[in-house]
Amino acid sequence: MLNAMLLLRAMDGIDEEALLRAGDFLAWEREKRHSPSRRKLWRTVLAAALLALLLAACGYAVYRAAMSHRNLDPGDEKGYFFNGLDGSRNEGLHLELNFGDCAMALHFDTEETGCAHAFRLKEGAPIPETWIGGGSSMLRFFKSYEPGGFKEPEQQRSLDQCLREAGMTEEEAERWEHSRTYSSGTTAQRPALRMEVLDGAYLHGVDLIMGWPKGEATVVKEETRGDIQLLEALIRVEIGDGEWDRQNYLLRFDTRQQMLLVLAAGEESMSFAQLEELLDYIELRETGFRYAYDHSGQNFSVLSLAYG
Amino acid sequence: MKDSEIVDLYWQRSERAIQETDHKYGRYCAHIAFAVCSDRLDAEECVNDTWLRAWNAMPTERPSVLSTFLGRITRNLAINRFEKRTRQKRGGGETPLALDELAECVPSDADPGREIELRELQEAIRRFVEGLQDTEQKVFVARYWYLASVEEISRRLVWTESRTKSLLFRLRKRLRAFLEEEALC
Repeated sequence: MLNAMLLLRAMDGIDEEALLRAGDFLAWEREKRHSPSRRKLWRTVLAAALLALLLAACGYAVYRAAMSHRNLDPGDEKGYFFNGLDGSRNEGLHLELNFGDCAMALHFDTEETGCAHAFRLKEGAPIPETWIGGGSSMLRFFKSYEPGGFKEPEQQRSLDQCLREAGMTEEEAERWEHSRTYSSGTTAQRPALRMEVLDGAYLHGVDLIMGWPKGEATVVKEETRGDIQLLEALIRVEIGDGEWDRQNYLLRFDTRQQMLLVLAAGEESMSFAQLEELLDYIELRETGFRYAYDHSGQNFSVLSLAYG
Repeated sequence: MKDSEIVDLYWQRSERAIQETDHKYGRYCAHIAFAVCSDRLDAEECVNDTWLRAWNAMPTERPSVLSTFLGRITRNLAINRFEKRTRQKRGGGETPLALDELAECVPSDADPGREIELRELQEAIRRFVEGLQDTEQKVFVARYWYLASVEEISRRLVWTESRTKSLLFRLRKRLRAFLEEEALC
């Protein structure tokens, strides 16, 4: 403990530039704050701008790249990878996208927030209840500090409280937030079934198809039903040093609500047909709990736009 | 307000310097403090102490990068506070986890505290980090300087947590080998 503590202190030898780069990366240095209404406006404007830009410039390329059956080879990221984000210090979010021959850089001078959604399965859902995994409470601390001190009301409004307000019982909210249950047959520590609801500002589903840098994605089905688009993909991902897992992913994107629902299950746990069946049993509600991602905006709705 | 203007305020002994610092870097320092202490009150006190230290340091110092200048102060204050608190009981949060991980980089039968100067170790760490690739460097510094959680780092990178853990594991192994090469442990 003492030795490790010394090492922890010795990290202070790291030079300024490295600290700044990591600070940018974590976006902990963000100083700007906008009012909720302004943030909302920004979000709307930016989402629209991003939609237009992406559809105009990348739509065809993305469509061709993503919708056809294809594999992402670990050694061949060049054509398909999503080159995440690179926050520029004090200058907002800088986003670079690379799809096939198409490359573009987007820059956003704003903060983004995402709204957490509660979901639950209606009665009769065709899965064992114990398979329902929890979501992540995420960076709750981000909104808690204001100049002059910590902002108490925000801090005290926890996610599970919001979930309860959205109609969940205390037990359900608790389970949603904290529990992670795993099927007994799974050797890898991954949930047998994982569900995520991602809105426009909080999509990291993009990496499922576009940017799993060390993995493969095979799109097996793509379908449009009015405002709803479905995508099914078999994903093979690295889950550790040389350890791989295969999962069935179902992505349901509501183009009107700009909301993505992701269901991910172990290949042997649930088939695509079972995942589709499950969709009918999922009930969604907004919680009012907002994730505050300081200029990460990192989960912009690239995937939804690509399919939108 | 630009950093240089804030520093000027300190040099002019204007109390507005504290307000402006808090406005611009309060959250940044609060993150650092909270990541170390995992306690809101402790974190808040660390931030306030940071302003006091900064006030006492300027003049004579004129930091070129105010954020890391303040961040370093906050981090050290927070580590002191954490250490003091954990003498009584072990706390939660990211610091114990990071400490457990870093313990892999030093042999259990050695005591670098007695054998080497902290400064030498700092210099070695600086060179080690300098030799890392961009992403490796960001992940390493985010984890072991900022004490960011694996989850947060993973989200920033749009990676799985296991991938981040795997990278950190490899980096720790390399750090240990590096420190051994340098005869620092």
